[in-house]
Amino acid sequence: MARIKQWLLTPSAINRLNLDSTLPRAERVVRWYYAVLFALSLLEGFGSRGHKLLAGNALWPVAWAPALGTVGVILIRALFIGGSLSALLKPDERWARGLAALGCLEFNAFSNSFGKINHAFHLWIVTSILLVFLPKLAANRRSRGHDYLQVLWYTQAFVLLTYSMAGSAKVIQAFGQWHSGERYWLLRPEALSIHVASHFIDMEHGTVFGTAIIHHPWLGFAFFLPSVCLELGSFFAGFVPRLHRVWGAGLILLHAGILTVMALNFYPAMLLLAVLICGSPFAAESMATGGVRPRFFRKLFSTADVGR
Amino acid sequence: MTPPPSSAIAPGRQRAWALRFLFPAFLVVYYVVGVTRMGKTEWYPFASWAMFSTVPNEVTTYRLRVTSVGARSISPPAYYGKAEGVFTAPVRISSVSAIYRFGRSLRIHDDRIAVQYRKLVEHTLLPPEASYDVVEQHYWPIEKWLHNRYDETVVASFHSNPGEE
Repeated sequence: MARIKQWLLTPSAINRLNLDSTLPRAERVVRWYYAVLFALSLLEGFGSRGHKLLAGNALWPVAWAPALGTVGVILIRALFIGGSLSALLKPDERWARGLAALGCLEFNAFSNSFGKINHAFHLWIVTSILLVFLPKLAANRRSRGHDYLQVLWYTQAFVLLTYSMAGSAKVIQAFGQWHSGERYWLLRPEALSIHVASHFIDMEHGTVFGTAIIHHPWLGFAFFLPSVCLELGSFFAGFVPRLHRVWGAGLILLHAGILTVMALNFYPAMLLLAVLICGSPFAAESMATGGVRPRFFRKLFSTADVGR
Repeated sequence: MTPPPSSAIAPGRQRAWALRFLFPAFLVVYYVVGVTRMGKTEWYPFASWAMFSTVPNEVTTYRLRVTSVGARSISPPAYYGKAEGVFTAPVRISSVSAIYRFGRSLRIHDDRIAVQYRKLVEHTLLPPEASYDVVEQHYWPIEKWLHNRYDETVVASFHSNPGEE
């Protein structure tokens, strides 16, 4: 039991972490977070030229914008880029992180006001809002350091929760489809082939790997079930810091697989996973106190992280 | 549990209370909202994350097909996604979803939503002065993708005028 407890990271266990080693890593993760957000704001913000919002289709955060026409769109773009830049330059200032969160919320409300809400950027919206609550360390690193780490851990927990939600939704729907006697459901070998074919029909084009999965359903099944398990276990992996990097890499590979098979690009989510989960400041800390590991695991859980 | 009055506790204790209760509460609320809104209109920025959760069986969906642009008749009709040069935007999942909602609202006679989505598709996808049909299709996905087998009925026909407000 004591050994299991040693492996687990709970909010109360964070209060016992060594601030001297963990806090600088956490600060570096936050700086990386805003550097990537700024890069994304440039890519997405300038890529949105030409869109014009229609009243009635605009989501609530940008309901004010259609009345301003093109000026409204320019303001939204400027807020996203400017907010992200200010948080990159001043990550310790709450006003700067708040501006970044507001810009992220507004821009993505704008880009999702054209008939469907896409989710590639959703994790950035909510995580940027959560990171507004980071305490200011300059005043007193000792007393606020653990609060800082807790906010970061909850942000990680939120990201991982969304993957568990995706996994549990598949299980819930599978039970419903099986119970109502539908021909195809999650545990039928054709499940992924049908998803892929359905997506290809909507998009009117396919991929080489996707077509192979349609022709060989068992191939898809071999990938689909482990993917659902990976999603389901994500939230729980948040409590086991030595799993952070492996799980983050697994979820990035999941997105890479979806990109290869279905041409669905979730690159903002992949970048977020790389920064927040693979670069987890808690993963290195746990290994520092974990004793001697076999060489393979030493490499896998190396203390080198994104921030170093 | 209710927090003690803010004047009675030190700022450090207030932060601890927020971390102990507000963040876990947020995770619970997010999960509950996500699950209860599954399959319904999302409350942005909440999401159910129910992606590829239902394995499609026999699918009912809606498509746009253009039959003429101005005086030029288009035969066979040009389907959105299959006819470059007729539609004004490339295939995007958001447009496919907008067309589905447009067709579905026409089918269930939800006039308010139909007007909203007609305006959207005519502004973003269709050239001016286009005559087009909204069609309903029924198919089994693998059958359609591999053998192009499906049933189709016309739900409604329109003439686009993106300049109209």
